[in-house]
Amino acid sequence: MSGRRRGAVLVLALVAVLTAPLLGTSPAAADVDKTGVRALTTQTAAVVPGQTAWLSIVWTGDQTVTNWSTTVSAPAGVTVSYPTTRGGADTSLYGSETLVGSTRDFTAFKVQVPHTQRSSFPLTVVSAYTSTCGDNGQCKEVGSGNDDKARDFSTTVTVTVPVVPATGPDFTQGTTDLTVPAGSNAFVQLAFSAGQADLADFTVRAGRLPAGLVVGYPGDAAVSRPAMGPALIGRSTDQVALRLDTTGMTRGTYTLPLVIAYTSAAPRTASGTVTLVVR
Amino acid sequence: MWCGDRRLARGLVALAALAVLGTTAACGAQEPAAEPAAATPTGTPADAATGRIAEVEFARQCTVASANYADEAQFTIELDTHLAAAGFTHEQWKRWHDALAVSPELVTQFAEISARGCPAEPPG
Repeated sequence: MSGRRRGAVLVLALVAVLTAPLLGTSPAAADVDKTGVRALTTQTAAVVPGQTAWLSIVWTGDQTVTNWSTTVSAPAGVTVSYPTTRGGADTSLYGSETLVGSTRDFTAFKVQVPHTQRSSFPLTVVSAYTSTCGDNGQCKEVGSGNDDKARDFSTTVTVTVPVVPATGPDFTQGTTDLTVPAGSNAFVQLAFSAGQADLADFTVRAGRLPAGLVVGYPGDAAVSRPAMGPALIGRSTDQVALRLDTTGMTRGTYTLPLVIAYTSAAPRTASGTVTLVVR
Repeated sequence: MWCGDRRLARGLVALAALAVLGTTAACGAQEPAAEPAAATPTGTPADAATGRIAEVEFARQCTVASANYADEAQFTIELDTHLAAAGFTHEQWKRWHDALAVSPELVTQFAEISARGCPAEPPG
């Protein structure tokens, strides 16, 4: 490099370094996140294979930040979704989009864990936010003296989601007794609650019918499905409808057998009964 | 000294002068402005009621990450249950939470309650 060219390079470098303070900010300093935003959660609540669950991560910070947005990445097979109130592309803090310095708040999101996921897995959590605190630590919200600039930052953390084996029954039948008028023909609702894991393609149909009873299903289908969708979501209760035509029955007490089919880790069939009183 | 070096020297002097001015200006901008205390927003004052709400909130923050829910609404149901037990409504909590952003008193009160630590973690 010639002396003249070396001189020109030196001038350019000096211009870059020396004029930065003139502009009021040094690029390096402006990029430093001094908010102290950090996750207090390293491990979420445990889930079981096949479960859909809302999980949360608690955050704190030294300075107030706004415009909070969190996105979560999970391993293949695990689905993450967000509150629909924000459009479904991200989640924010529970209380607002602002994390006030020296306080705590949490972000919540939903994970759907496949039945094949039997070991703990990591989530990569990226939280983006805006700081309005100046380099001098003064923040817009609580006083003057900041440099009146808003800076966007993000923090990435990894949290572990423990996966433990499910315990308890796959589902419980909430409705075990029904009373219907003699000569009636109407739908009745049967409640079912899932255990810890989701039960896909949950269907209910009547088994061998008592003499004179005719059973129908919504949409003239061969089975009844939960009102809120084809799956019975873990730890939730849903209803299935059966149309009971008792016009051919005499008053009395009967046992109505049920055939319940669903898919957890694999397709399964279970039986149930309803005590039917025709009066 | 050849011509280029002289121009370089003149440039360096000029840039150094600019840098001094610039640094001074930047430092000046970073100095906390002396403003009357009255200009500082104080927001909602902290009292016993805000302290009890802060305690409910902090207790929730201690346990929320160890719970999982089938339904998103359960987060609010859980909060409201604890608020009701303490004699508060969700609306009161919301007003308190919104006031945190503009009330250093409330923040200090919340921080003092938080400093006691969650039951499972050491204080500090």
